Amino acid sequence: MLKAFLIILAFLLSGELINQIFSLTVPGNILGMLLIFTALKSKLLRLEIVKPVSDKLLQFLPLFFIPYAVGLMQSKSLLQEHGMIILVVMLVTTLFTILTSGFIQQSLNRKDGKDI
Amino acid sequence: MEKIFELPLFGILITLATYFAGLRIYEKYRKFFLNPILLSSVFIIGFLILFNIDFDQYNVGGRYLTFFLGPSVVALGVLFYEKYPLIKNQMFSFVLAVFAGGLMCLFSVITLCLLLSVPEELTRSLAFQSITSPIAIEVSAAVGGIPSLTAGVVIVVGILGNAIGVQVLNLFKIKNEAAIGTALGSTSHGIGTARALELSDLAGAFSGVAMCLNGVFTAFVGPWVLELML
Repeated sequence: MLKAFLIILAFLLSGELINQIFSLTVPGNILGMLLIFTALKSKLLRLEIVKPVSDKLLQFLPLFFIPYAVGLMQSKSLLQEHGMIILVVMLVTTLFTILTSGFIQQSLNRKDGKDI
Repeated sequence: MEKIFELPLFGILITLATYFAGLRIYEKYRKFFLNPILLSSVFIIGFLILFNIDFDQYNVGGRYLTFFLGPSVVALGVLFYEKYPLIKNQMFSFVLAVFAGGLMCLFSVITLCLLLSVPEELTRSLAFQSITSPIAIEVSAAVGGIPSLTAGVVIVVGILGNAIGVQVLNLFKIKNEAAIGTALGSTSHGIGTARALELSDLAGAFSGVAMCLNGVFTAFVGPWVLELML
C-alpha cells in the first residue's frame, strides 16, 4: 500500500515538475495521469502494484471535491447580483453539452455495431 | 470552545461526517437531488454561516481532503490503462463525442449569454464551465474572465451533471455505458466522473479520459472561439 501510494505521488510530482519547467496550461495532475498511463503501457510499471491504492482513491473521489464546493460561499456578492442568470445559462448549456456528447458516441457505436 | 473551529480536525471531521450521512441518505432514497456532494456542502455552508465561521477557517482542515484530488487524477490514469483495450476499440466515436461536447458547450454558453445580454466578463468566466477546475481557472484568467467565479461555476456544473446527468441521458434513450461515461466526463469533469464510477468501471474510465481530453481541447480552442464570437 505504502509503495503504491509513493509511486502515485512520484508521478504527480513529475507532472507538476513538467508543468512548472515548461510553464504549461495543462495542470500537473493531468500530466501525471498521462505519465502513469505511459509507464503502465510500456511495462515500466505493473498494474498490480498501483491498483489497490488507485482503486481506493477513486472510491473516495466525491469526498475530495466537497471543500471546493463549500468555497462557493466566497463568491456570494457576485452570485447575489447575477446568480439567477448564471444558473439559467449553466442549466441549459449543461443539458445541451451532455446530450450532444452522449448522443454522438452512442449513435457512432451503434453504426459500428459496438453496443456495449 | 471557538478554538475547536481553528483545528484542522474541524474541517476534516465535518466533511467526513456530512459526506457519510449524505451517502446514507442517498443510498436509502436514491433521489438525484439527494446527491451526497450537494447535501454535504449545503449542510457545511449552512453550519459555517450559522456559527459565523470563515471559509478559510474551515479550509484549514478542508485542504487536507482537497490534496487527495491530485493523486486521484493520477489514479484515473491507472483506470485508463486497465480499460484501454475497450476504449481503443471505440477511439473514433469517443474522441468525436468529446470534441463535439466541448464545442457545444462553448457555442451554447456564448450564444445564450449574448441573447441574455450577460456582461462580457461573465461570459468569459462561464465559457470554461465544463473543464476540470485547475485548467478552467487558468484559461479564464488568460482570456479576461473572473477566475474565482469560474471556479464556482465549474463546481456547480459538476454537481449538476453528477446529480441529473444519468437521468437526462436515459430520458433521451442514451443507455450505452461508454457513451454515458464520456458525456459525464466531458460535461462535468471530475465530479461527473465520480458519478460515472458509481455506474461502472467502464463508464468511469471513459469519463476520466473524456475529462482529460476535453480539458486540453477546450484550453486550446476556447480562447479562439471566444475571440471569434464576442
